[in-house]
Amino acid sequence: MPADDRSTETPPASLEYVGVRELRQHLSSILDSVVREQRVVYAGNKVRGGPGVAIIPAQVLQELLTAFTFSPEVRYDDETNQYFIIVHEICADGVGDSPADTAEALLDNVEEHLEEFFTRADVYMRYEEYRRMYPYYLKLSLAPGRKQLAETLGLDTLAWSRSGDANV
Amino acid sequence: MPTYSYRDLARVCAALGLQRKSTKTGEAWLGVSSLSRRPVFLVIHQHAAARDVPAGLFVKYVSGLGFLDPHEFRMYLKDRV
Repeated sequence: MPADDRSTETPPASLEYVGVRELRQHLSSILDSVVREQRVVYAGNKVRGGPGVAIIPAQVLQELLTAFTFSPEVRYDDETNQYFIIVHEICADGVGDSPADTAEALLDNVEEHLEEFFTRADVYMRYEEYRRMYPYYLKLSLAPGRKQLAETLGLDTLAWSRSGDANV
Repeated sequence: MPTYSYRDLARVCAALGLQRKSTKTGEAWLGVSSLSRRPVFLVIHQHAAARDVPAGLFVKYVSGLGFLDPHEFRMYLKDRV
């Protein structure tokens, strides 16, 4: 997980901060203690400063990400006779003739968004609106398969209607 | 509001300087919009490519590309593409 410059210039006193050399020499034991003791370790270049990293247990990361939920908006467009879904949290969408087609198109598109976002995260993270999307993309990236991706997006609990109302 | 096709959208993306990329299920347009000077990533699914864009989605695309409103998009499509 990238940490910004400020966090490495003045690492919080309550958290452990190790230098790159120490991390390299003791990586195995540091990772082991992070997992076993649920610790958080900040690591970076102690001499030159600059961006560092935070090492936290993967389980803790997953728990932190539970705070980020998706509220897909479903609509039916009478003019084009199509359903569409918008996932505002990551600015992704899907269009289709039926609810199933639409959900599949959305999943295809979300997979493309995921690949693109993490391929060029250094570019996207320069912009506030994309920085806000980071935890949502991170959460989606942890889904091990397409079924779990759909569940993470909340597609399994969506109700579909042709009334044109959002998410009815 | 008049409807626009995904092809119209793709033509405008090209005119805005975005790059076309083939994807597993269609195409994507990416790059920095010459209007908004911000990164854009717009996916057009192969099943939607020949279709019209639902109005609710069209507004989202127009805004994401850097147009003020659908009218500005319409004028751009008419005059510049």
